[in-house]
Amino acid sequence: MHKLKHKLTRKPVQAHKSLTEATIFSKTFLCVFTKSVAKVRFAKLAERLIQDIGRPLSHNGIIVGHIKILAKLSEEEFLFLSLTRLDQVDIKPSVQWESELSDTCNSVNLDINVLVFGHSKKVIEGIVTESLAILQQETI
Amino acid sequence: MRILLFGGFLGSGKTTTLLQIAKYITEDKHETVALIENEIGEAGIDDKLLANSGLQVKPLFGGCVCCQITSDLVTAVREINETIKPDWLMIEMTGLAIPGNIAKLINEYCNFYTGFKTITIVDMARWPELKEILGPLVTSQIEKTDYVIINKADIAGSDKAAIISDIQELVNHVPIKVASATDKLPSDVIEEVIHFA
Repeated sequence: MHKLKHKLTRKPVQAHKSLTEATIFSKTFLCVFTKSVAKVRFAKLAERLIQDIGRPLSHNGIIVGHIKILAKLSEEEFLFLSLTRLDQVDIKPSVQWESELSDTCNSVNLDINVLVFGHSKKVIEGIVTESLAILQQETI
Repeated sequence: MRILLFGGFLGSGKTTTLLQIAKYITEDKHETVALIENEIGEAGIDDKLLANSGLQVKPLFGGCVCCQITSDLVTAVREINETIKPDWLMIEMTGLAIPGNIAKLINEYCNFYTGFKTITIVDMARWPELKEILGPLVTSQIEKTDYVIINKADIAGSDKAAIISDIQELVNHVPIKVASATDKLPSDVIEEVIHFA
């Protein structure tokens, strides 16, 4: 189920877009890197990933909704990223996340949750796919 | 068992706020807390964040408790009351839920509580845009609540006074506090949230 019941009425001034239903995109991706990536660098790439996803979905610099990513190396070791406005990415590492310069990772599970108004699931999926491709490219 | 129900739009800071209040109750007051986390999406994220902080979390997936899985919430609240028997039950709603709807449900089917309060978190930094685009939803999230925390004041623009005044017009009968949960929620705000007369 990807559409919620909340039906909302918009003001006429916003008539160029349909903002009557929240669209939910929620998927887990496994990213396997061709060579090891330092965790410090991965954190930067993850920050860029969430901004790449958010940029085309934003409205005047804000997300009309919420984008969240959980980048997991294991069930206990993960990075949480949250985006509600393009100029600020909130990043919280789990208690077990270790990020010494020598720490690296070869793969990561990405739980990506996008809840936004005004965009179709197909559009969101395309944006997420493109953004993930950029992340993969950056790790080669 | 006292129940705190947290609402507010997507990304307003509900999880961060709830986490700080839960820690205050467990570490400073030495009382027990159980959490119900209602999240939309196949990949649950907030429940993992809360669990990583050492809290017991009951996740509710499959929809929004205020309109789609209402019976699941009632069942979960009753089960926690009968089995875990915590001092406090904290419920985090989805960012699309309307607190007034859930309060009605709790009052009707779970009225064994010793105290019950709804707290709505407002994202000050996005309020003007969200009100313009999603006015009916964001205003209905505030209208029937017992306590309002205007959050993210640290990243809001220059129109803070106008935003506070706007929200006061919607809920002039309940306490409204301005804060920034990412810094640290002031202990006097937490004390007010958990205070029952």
